[in-house]
Amino acid sequence: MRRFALIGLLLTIGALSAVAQGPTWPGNATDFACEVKINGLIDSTPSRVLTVNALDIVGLRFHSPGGGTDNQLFSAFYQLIYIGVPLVSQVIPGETPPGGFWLDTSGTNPGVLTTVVPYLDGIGFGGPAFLAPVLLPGGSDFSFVVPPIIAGQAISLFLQAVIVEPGLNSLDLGIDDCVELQVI
Amino acid sequence: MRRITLSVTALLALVVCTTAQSFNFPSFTGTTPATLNGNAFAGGGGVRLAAAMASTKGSLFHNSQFEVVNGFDTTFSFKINVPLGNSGADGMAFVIHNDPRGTTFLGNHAAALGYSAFATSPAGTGVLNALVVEIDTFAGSFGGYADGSSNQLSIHTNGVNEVSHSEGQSLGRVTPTTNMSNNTVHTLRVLYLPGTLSLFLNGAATPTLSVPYSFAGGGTHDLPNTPVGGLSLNNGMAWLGFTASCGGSFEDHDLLSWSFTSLAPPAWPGNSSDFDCEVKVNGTVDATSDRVIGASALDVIGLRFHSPAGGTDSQLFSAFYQLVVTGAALNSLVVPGETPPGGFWLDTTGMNPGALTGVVPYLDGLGLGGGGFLTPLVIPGGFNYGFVVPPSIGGLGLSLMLQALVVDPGLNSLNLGIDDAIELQIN
Repeated sequence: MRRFALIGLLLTIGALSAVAQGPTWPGNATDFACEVKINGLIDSTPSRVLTVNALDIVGLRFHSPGGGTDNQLFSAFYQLIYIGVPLVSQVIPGETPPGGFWLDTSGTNPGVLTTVVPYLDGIGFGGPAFLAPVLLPGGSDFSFVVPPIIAGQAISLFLQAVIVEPGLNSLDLGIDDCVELQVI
Repeated sequence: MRRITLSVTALLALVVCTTAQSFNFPSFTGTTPATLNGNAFAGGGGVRLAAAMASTKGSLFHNSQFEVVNGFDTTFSFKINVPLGNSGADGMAFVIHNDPRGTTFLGNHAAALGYSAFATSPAGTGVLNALVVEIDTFAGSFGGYADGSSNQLSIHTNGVNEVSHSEGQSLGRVTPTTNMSNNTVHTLRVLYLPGTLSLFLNGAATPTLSVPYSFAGGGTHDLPNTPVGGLSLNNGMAWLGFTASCGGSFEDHDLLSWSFTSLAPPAWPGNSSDFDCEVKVNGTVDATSDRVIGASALDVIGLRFHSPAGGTDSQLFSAFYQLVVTGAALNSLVVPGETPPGGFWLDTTGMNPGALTGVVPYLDGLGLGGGGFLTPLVIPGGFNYGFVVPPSIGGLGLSLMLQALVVDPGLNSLNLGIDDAIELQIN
């Protein structure tokens, strides 16, 4: 697994508590979202903290609700973290905390079990890709089976994605709300 | 880029690449790639092939030839309006030909419908090497054979020779219950599957007329009951278009829309897996059946991996690409026990000089490229992946070959499904 750093992101004070009626791990004000299906059923949990079982089929549909990021390059990442571990968001300069990128790139958090791993990498954080994924109008998909190897160990699979969004901020970077899959 | 080796028995086969073939004209405008001849003119979103005046005639042909030999499915809408006080005549025709006159062809007027010739005309006035579907609105008699009615569909051919509007050169005819010249829009679908030509009037579920016919072997003139040969095509391709004409009686003949799809087989077929990849280029679904698609640098390519019947839903899959020189010969790897040439066409040998890269997985649920922790699988309804055609490969005569594998339990000895390979020819 490759370790990477989001260049230019500013480490800010940790935001540990959930936002009422909102995502526990919010992104920024991007027109970019990730719909989650568990075994074919769309999740509508406001917190984006879900419980899954080994071998559940997780479907992700990355999309732009307002079409503002259609056809833009995007990257999606995962990280394994123990459930309940405090996380700190990296906030883009000029934006309001705590919304930002929650996967831990510091390598110093003992509750974090893996590096930040790109599984779709249009922006090239994990190295240049030839067929770099872009966000299709109507949505781009990814799906996977929850690996049994991480079941029963109080581990969460964190998922978050970033997208090129010209004009949104100083980095032209949209960040969707982070999804936490608590694997039981 | 990682090179992979598939543990599949290699069986060499070479296939010929054909050209992408389909179009859809919801209406006709100044930019429609077609040639108008004679009295035909465009206006109001349609083409008036022959207006309601004595002895008018006209034709329209698409500017390109299209593959027909392996089957086609075409539908057009038309309207024929008979002026008050006139009995109306003569009708229009859908014409498939490989006559040297190409897009400029136009025959005689009146009962000749713009494709055929009078008895007094010089030899070769009528279209050569053609298959014609008549919408005949005048009951006449020619060459010793009479039309069945003044509201008739009839399929004519004379093999590679000049074809006549005589019913003696018809493979079959029918008088529909619907009046086709009642100033109402009608549709006619012409479906050719090698061995059978079928007509469907106004969306009929069952053929309005169906005759045995193939471009290779021809058919039978039903009234004299004599065989007639097939056509001589240009690598399976022909000119497509319409003719119409009036005689002493007259009517307006309007062509309003036209779509065509060649049923060419995939150039690079996979196996019989219930697994497919739909392609969109800049948001438009590709309708070609040979899966050879033109694309340009920076085009947005959308791929939807899906299981048409659901048989491979939720199964792991891997998708690969390879850059090859356009026109390079490729061989397929065929799963043991399956029928060549269907198989995996991306070159894993490293021996083909036309292959410029290894076989690179960009989605790898099967782990052939090393795999990953989150391994993709086929989502019911489809897995959408999009990418931009890299500018670095534009204008170099390259093709981006795309093919995918899926776990398909019970399909074969490897439980492996293979979709038809897609060739994106990069302009």
